[in-house]
Amino acid sequence: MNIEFIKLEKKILKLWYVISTILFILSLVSIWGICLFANDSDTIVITIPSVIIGGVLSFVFLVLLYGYPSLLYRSYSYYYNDDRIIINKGVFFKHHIVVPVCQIQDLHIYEGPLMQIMKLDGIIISTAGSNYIIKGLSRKDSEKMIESLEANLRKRLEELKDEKLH
Amino acid sequence: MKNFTKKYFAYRCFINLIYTLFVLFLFVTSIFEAFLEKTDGDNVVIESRYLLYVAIGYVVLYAIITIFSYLYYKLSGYEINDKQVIVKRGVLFKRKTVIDLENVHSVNSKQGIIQKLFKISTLLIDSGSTNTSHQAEASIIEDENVVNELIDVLKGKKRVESSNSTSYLENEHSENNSLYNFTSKRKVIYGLIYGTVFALVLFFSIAFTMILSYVISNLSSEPNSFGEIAFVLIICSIILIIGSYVIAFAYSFIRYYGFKLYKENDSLIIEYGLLVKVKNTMKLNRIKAIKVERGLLERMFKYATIKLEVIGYIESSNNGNGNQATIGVLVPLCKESEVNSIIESVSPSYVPKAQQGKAKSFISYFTWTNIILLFALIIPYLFGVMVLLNYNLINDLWIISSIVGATYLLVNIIVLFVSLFDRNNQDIIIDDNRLIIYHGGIIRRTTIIQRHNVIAIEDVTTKWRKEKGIFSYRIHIRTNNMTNVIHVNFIDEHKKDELLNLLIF
Repeated sequence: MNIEFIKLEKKILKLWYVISTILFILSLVSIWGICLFANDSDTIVITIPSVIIGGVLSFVFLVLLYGYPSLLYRSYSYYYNDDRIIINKGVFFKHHIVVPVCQIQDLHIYEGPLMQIMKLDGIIISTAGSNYIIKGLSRKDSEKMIESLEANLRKRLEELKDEKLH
Repeated sequence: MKNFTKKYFAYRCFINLIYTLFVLFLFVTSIFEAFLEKTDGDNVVIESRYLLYVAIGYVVLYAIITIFSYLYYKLSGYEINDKQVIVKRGVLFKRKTVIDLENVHSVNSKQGIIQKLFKISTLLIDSGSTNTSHQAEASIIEDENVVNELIDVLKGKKRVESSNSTSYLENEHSENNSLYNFTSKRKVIYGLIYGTVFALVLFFSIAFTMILSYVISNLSSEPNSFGEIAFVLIICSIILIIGSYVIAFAYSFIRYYGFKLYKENDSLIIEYGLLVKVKNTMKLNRIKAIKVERGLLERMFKYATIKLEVIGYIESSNNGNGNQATIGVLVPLCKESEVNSIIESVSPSYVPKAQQGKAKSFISYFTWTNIILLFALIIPYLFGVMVLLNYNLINDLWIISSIVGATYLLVNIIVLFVSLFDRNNQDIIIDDNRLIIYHGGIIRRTTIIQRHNVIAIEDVTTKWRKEKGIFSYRIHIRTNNMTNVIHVNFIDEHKKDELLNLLIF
């Protein structure tokens, strides 16, 4: 079976970078705050070893915070058709989730504050056991997905009812 | 709509009396203490009018609570008709629960020791909604005989629905024919096994805390001697070991008093309890999964516990966290060799098949744990080093280095220990319309699920594992929402297609 997976909206990457930037600024403040001000004297004291460690830590945070979103974006994809929803995600651990449409109990759309600014949606697919979340669809896509999932679900339930009767 | 029994009001009045007397006791003792402090303990004279105030206050409090109880009794009620169970409860926050009879998952009755005095018991009806999986959706408090009648009514209505005449005949023969006997000998073994488990867990956690506090106190200016700490350790251990066995024996003899497991028509009934009497009734086709559990000690003596996943059938834990619930028990303790025959007598489609394979990889347990662990340790370590360098405390560097090193070593030892047990018990067997999953290491679990209760399949792999054909699986099942995912680690990639074929699309 050849499946064409759908990528998330490109804008979600921007949103993740915004979050990364906020986190990076916070981590810089704490790293250099400790490096320069945590000492016995009242003024800034610069010692070479601690500056080197501060530099290394800043670099590690930079790579992590800005590298991770693009890797996550690349690994994240989803697919749905008449009978199933497939979600792929995970940078190091590749998760591949297959949920049959007939197991859906309810569908939700949600938006966080940043997502509202960027006009992005998330979809929560609830089943009788777990919830599955796809975060970062455009509003058009999410509405389309909910609509077709609902239609598929109704169709499948009718079919299953018929199967039981026969 | 019928009201709860009048005895319920009497019972509430009695409970209110106990509660209010307790409050009064606390109030009076605290007032008395305050008086003593003020007057330095001599010549305490309490004027009689104060006593009058307290008495009036008490009467008012009792009256308010009793009026509330009366309103609650008057405003609550229930109705069981051909289609639905309707239960109304509450005074300020009114709540009306409607459960369609066809959605009733389990019908349980519960009777506490005071309820026994008043000859009333609580009937719990659950629809299996995951929203309320930690508690029953509707409860009716009635005379104990009425509760038994209601259980029969609920069962009878369902029987009419299914209109299966042969089940009537079976009923007469199978009733009260217990499928399993929790004998006194088994209760003793149960007490010994669980008592030892509790005692060991407590002992190790206490020993760990003691060693840690010894190390910390040695770093401070006034170190405790090792003798002092060892003394506390021994005393604590003795108390805890005795306590553990007492609790475990109480559990097996009091909680599981009169344990009965039997089938009636298409329902399974589990009854037990001395102080709190429980009777659980559930339809056999509502069973979501059967779990066979064998802890380390149980394995040594070739025993097993069988548990039952039915939404609504839960044993709330006794540790005070209201929301924590464990899945219900089918058989508290039996010989490993008896497991299959017991399950067969309950529901033949749940008899497990023998394990066929095990985890394909051992090294997988370590690779990622080590990478994540190293990262998680190195960043705080570097922060620590920076601070020490700034304060010129270079001599103390060895302390944090050794703490980080010891943590790294300790976690690795734990991982080694867990993975040694874990790798031998990982397997998925697909058999017709059901799934038999072997998972868990220290506590080995075998879970048997019917095909239609599998909700979704998730596989997890990494680049390296994919090349070697090693996959982990998460099987999402329809059940109480606390235990809905089963993890099976590092097994063959071919299972993936088999699992996907099993899903009902």
